[in-house]
Amino acid sequence: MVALLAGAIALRMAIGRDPVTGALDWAWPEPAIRDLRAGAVWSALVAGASLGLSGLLLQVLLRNPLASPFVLGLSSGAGLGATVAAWAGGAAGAGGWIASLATTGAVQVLPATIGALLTLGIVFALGTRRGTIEPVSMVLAGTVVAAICGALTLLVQYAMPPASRADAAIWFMGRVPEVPDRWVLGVAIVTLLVASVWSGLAARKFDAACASDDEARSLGVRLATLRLGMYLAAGATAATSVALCGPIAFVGFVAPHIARLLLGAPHAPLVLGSVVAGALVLVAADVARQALDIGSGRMPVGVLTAIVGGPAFLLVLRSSRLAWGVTR
Amino acid sequence: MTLRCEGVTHLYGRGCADAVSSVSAALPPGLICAVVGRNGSGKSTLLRMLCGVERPTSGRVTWMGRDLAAMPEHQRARICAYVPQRPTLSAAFTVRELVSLGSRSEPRGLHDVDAALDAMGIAHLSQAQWHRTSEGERVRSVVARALVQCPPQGLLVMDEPFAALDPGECARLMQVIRDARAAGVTTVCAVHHIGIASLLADCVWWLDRGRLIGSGCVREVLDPPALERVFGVPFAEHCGQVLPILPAERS
Repeated sequence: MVALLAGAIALRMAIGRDPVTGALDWAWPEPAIRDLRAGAVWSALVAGASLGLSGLLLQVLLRNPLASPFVLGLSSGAGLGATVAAWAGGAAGAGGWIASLATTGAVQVLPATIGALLTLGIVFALGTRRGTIEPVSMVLAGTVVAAICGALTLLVQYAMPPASRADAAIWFMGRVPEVPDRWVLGVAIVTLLVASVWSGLAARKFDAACASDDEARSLGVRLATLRLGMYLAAGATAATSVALCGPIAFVGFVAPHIARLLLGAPHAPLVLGSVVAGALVLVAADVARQALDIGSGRMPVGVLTAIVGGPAFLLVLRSSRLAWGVTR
Repeated sequence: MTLRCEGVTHLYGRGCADAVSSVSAALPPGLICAVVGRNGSGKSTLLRMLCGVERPTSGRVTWMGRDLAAMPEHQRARICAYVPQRPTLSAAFTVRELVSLGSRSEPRGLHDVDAALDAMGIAHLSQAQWHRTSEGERVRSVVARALVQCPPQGLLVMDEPFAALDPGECARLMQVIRDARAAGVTTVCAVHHIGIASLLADCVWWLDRGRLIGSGCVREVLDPPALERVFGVPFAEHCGQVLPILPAERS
């Protein structure tokens, strides 16, 4: 998987499109273009890895193989936070910000994080009863909250000046910026490292947390603390990925499943596996995006991951009934 | 006394009847105790409080004088292992991976993972997906996990482990529990089958509507008139076993 990732990175560095003619460019780039492509690689690596880890944590937290930041409304919540901030910034006369939002994805991390954590908090509160998680209620709550956040985002976009409306809509599709905001990228890397190290150390407890609450407790896991940790780590990594690339669908869902197929179910290898798989999926999607020409230029990467990831989700939904025997 | 209940009561919610109501009892170390009673009599709730995963609404459960519910989880896990009535798992672990969830460095359990798989007769399933095995095999895997977790002189709490087992496996599990007793383990086990209770247990706790209505040696507590009073069908002794009499045979 690491070799595949290295290959994908090399490909992304080598592939691009001529901005004037729109033709595919296969040559190793000159320094200026190399920097742009390296920026895109960094963004995709960090955002993909964050999404992969966030998805794994949510799947363990909710005991649900279908959980992911996108399904539970975290991405939509973060997107809403960022859009509201952009709109407020525009309304306050801080022009230009929305344009930069669309071209570089340089959103402030804070509103996205607040949006993601608030959404997760609401979904968590709606999906638990007396401290016990009810997985079905939680996924339903996530779906509804995601829809509400999506509608509110559209509303805010509608309130924007028409010129920025299209940019905001494109940002909302999810895209890999070639010039990521250094501060956002830095925060995202630090968040990813902290969350990965904590998850690696807690991996054995994740295994026990897959049993029932009673069994997990009897195996020595302090569930409330572990769940708070998972909640914060999953929320923060989802938020930084949205701040970097906008809401990108299905990477967080697919990455842990790819890792499981290759590494099995125990979580010690899965944490690193999901991080690498997430990075691989997003970098590969960005390569594919460069290679596909749909007439009016390259499509946003979020559209591509949704088109490929949607069927993958349905496939797992179908097979999970067999493989997981979805707990009674 | 090693395991002691002091006025243990549990309420599931306001307005509900007590699931367990002021149970006071004590168990000397290294004994096997069968908990019997009708469906819904509070056996499972009592067992969950005995192994510390549920906190009593009032009263307390102590092990060697220490309150089990107040103990940090990781310390309690070194003393006590629990086999739930319906084990669940939300990850696609193999049987071996499930059993090794019980292992830790110190103190060592009764068995290591391989020995526990052998003891429960599931060594041939070790690489099988836990979800794809039968209900009885799943219970046996979870018992094996408890054998890996529970240290000598520890506490083993099992909630109806015999319910899904065939007669051969019931006999195997009874022997495993006796071997654990030889290592000083105290076992509390919910049992419906009066025959298994009388073959296996040193003593019996009898629960009815959340109250302890009898405790002591099996033959004294589970006599046919008392059984008939609680379960509502007549019982008689057949070949040394106390069994219910079917309506057609009563005449």
